[in-house]
Amino acid sequence: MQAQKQLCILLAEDNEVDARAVSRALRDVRIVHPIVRAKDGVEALALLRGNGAVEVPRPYVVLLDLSMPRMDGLQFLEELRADPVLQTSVVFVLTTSNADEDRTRAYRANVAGYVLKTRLSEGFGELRELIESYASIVELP
Amino acid sequence: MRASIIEVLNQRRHRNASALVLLAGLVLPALAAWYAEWLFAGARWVHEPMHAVVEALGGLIGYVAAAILLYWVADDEYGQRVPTALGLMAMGTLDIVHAAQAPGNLFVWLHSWAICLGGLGFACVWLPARWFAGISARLVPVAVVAFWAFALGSVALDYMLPAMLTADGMFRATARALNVGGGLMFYGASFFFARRYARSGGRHDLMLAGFSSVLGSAGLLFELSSLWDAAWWLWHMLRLVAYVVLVEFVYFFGRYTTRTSLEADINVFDAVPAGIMAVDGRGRIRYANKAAAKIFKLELEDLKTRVVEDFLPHELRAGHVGQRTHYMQDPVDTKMGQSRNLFAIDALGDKVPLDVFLSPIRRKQGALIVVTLIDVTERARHELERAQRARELERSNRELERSNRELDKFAYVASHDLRSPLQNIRLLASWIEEDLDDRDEVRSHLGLLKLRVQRMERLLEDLLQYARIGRKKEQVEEVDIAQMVSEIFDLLNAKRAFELELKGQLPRFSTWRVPLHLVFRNLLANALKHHDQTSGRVSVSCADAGAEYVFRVEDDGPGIPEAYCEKVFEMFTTLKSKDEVEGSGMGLAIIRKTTEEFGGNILVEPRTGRGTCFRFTWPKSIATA
Repeated sequence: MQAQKQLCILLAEDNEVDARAVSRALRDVRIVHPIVRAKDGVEALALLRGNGAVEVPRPYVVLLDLSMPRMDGLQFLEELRADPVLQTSVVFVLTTSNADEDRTRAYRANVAGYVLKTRLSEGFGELRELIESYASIVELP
Repeated sequence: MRASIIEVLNQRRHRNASALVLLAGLVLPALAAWYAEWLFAGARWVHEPMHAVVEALGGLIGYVAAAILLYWVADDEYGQRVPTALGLMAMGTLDIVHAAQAPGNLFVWLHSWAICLGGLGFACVWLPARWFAGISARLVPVAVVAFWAFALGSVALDYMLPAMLTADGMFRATARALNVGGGLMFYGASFFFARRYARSGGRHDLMLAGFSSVLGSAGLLFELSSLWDAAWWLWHMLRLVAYVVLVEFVYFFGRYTTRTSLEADINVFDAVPAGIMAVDGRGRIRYANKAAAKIFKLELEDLKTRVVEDFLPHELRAGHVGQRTHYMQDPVDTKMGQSRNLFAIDALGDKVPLDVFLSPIRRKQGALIVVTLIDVTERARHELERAQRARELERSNRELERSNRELDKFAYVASHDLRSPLQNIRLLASWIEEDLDDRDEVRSHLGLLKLRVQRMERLLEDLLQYARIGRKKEQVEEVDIAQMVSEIFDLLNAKRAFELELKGQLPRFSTWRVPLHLVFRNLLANALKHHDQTSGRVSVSCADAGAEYVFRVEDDGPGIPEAYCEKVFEMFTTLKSKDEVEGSGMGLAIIRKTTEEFGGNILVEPRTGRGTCFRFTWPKSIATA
């Protein structure tokens, strides 16, 4: 068994219930991954750039909701990829939108995966497995 | 139809001329005869060959004139041409035979019958033309044979003829009766022709009047003359001259005169539905048909006194003279108006859209330009209607596109915004199940669950309201803005934490009350709901912008960043998480659709720093919206 590394998770999600769902899913694991919550794209960018209330330690992955106020997920991705420091960030999209256009635009912005909330079982168990295996076997920037 | 002055003058001239011809035909030969008698009193020039030549020539010319009448003149030009021709041929036949005779009883007999039958033929003009319609072909050869039979029969049965001369060589009453009767009949015909000329001015009538009056005089002069004397030779010559002139005339009658007189009576171009004008090098309208007069709303005679520039728009007149002069140097067929908007100014000063064709006719006296005018008022009107329909279609197309875009956007966002609360409710229910022992957690989950149900309800309600926005059903009422705004504000500001300022004079006018109320309510509610302080100030003002009022609703809240000034009006758009400020994201979308539906618009005035100012317009009158 490989040594588990701690992986910070930046959760960009405006919906309280969905945010809570992610927290609950990642609650019962051997190594607790710290979760930082942003309520929209602007706040998430601020956090990553170190201008936020808390620090986001590397390595981190971003769990990104697409539909958010002020700056939505896709606009956030554009800004992120244009930022020389942040452009290598690993991002998973976590959304209810099943639109082809959104999926295509997300992958063009080099997301690591596009996850539909409606495909997850109650309790987001698959999401926990995804993050766990990612944390254990993937080398992050 | 009212006769023009020119027509009246012409008629008077015709009447004078015909009287003159009648008089001259009678008086001049009589005077000449008396003068000759006096000059050559008692003189006798016996020359049978000369007489034979004159009579035979007269007879032959009579045949030629008859032939021309029969073959070249049509019934509708001269209805009594057949009896006239028969009269000429009878006279010709008898004169020819008469020419071959030595003076004596037969000689006088033939001549007297020649005058009488000729007069009879001419006198037939008094009879209705329809009596002679369609008889020429069969009757003419029969009649000619009959004339010759009569003449030659007379020669053969010379001894049986009644005596024409007295023992001392004077004319007997029979001869006198035939000659004078024939002469009077010629006179009668002459009177008929003269009368017709006085009415219609047809030149052939004048000529025939002259001819028959000369022959009439010749018949009457017979009374005054005796064989071989000066008067006798005079009326023989008179007849010959009359014959020659007649042939000349009937020839032209057949070739030209009737045709020009037909054109004078019936103008073919007046039946053409397009305006036709002939314009000379100086722009004068030399000819115009009725349709042209109708286009310019002028009397035809009046139009012929104008120049083309009279019908051009005022600002083009001066330039047109130069263009016309230039064009006249090398005139070619030209089409004008088909592609551009060409119009003339009629006598009443109204615009008449036209298609114009120019076709030059080159003459020695300088080119005439035939101008064809086609009134395209109808066509122009159709085109205008078509353009209007196209504009309407375009507008409804744009409207349809907009509504389709909105529908796409709706389908897209609804899939998230409508599904998300349901998904949340499902999650919360499962967590409640899991966390049944932890009362605090369960309570928190249930609170969220209720909020999600409310959010869903609110969303559905707003969507329904948005879909229903439309002016058709709305009532028009007198609205006092100051009062309306105050009432709304008091209702929203239950805690009295905020202050309302009404700046300046707010109008009172008749408009759709409910939608305007909705706009103010949503704007004021937004100002209070999104305010980040516990207390604040909202101000409402109004400016008059002609056809519409410009309202401003200003607050001292956190403000909207410039980048979001347009985005806020989209459906389901919120600037804060719905968990922080509960809202469907439909409020401003509803306001924008409402203002636009009722003829106004709304925007956020961009500004830096705190405070938001919504500016919207609303039509003053329901008619101009």
